[in-house]
Amino acid sequence: MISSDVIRGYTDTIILSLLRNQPGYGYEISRQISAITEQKFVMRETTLYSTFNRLEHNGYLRSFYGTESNGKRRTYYEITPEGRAYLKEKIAEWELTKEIIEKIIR
Amino acid sequence: MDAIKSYLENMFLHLPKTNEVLRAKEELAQMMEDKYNQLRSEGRTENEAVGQVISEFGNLEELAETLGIPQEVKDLESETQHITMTDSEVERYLQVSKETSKQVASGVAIILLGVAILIFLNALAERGVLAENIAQAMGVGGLLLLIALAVYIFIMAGMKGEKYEQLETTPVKIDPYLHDRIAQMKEGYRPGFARRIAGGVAIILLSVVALVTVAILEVGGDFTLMLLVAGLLVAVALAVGLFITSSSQMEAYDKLLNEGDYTLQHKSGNSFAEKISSPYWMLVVAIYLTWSFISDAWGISWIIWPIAGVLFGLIAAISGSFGRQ
Repeated sequence: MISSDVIRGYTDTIILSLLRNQPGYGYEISRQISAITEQKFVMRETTLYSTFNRLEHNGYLRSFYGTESNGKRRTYYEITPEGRAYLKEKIAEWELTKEIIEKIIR
Repeated sequence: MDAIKSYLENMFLHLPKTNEVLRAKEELAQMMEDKYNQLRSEGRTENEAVGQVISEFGNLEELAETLGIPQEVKDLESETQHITMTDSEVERYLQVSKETSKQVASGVAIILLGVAILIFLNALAERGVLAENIAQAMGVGGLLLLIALAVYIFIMAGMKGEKYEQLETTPVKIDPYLHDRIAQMKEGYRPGFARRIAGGVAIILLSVVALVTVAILEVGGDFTLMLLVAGLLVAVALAVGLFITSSSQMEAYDKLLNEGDYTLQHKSGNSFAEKISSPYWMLVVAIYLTWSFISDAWGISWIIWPIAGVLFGLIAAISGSFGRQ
């Protein structure tokens, strides 16, 4: 199990990365996170929603309704150009963080 | 699925019905439904799916900021004062609690071993190997020294644990990830806990049965009997160690999770075996020494030990099984 303090600063990065190539909806993202991390990290619904909401508020994501085959509407999220720029920054920040910590602990 | 819906309804019951809040609720409901359907399609039972969805949901506080309602949630969640603990504080607390319980257990073991030595020396005197007054002087003197050592250990353990005393009365607030992890640790420890309590009770009972059988059959004479009493004390020391360390570990989990004896409704009382054992065994030693000296009853006063052992086993077993329901 991973320390939640560490991951908290990177929920934005995680979600933006997964939306980098195509729009997605809540559970889809959550399932991808679990699958990619082989269940080592499960993002909570409240975390997921808070992050979507914050990213949208900051203009990094844009949401729209998509209609499913069963007629239900579902909120999809799509990354904006600002979001891409922000993701790039966050990835650079992570690389630097990783490098610094690695240097110190090795 | 209804269980999930009503869970969410309850969560949102006291929140203002702003657009932000309603949107969050709708979307959370969608996510939970999707996850539920996925789990069911993977072959989970209704209960398993509902359980997993609810346990992975998270908490409202996290949403509060997003929804622009931090104050309402705060009022809702913290009607009483909380202690907030981080990962490393929790690790540290579990470590300290393990250490102090080991210290208390070894303190009690030292006292019981002191008594065992005293009885063993008396047995030697009985045999004529040692003069009776020398045996008693050495035994009692040694016991008092060991008690002093044990008291020192108790005080050190108490000081170490003092920092965390408020966990006994104040609810603990920890991150949901951490909460789950501790809950898993507790579940993982449960079988071991049951085995240790049962093992401790069995150790005491076996040694008492051995002692009583020999006493009733009158096979061994006083010397054998006293050796058995000394052996019983060693067994009790072992059992007490098992009780103290296992129950204090369980209680540490309960305190962190606000469960068991430490629910939000009644966070009071404390780590039973750990707190009671040192005064209990010191009291028994005091009664034993007083009785033996005043009535010069060294030949019979050892009877206190099997009784005290069984009584302690009983208390530990009862508090162990009833306290954990």
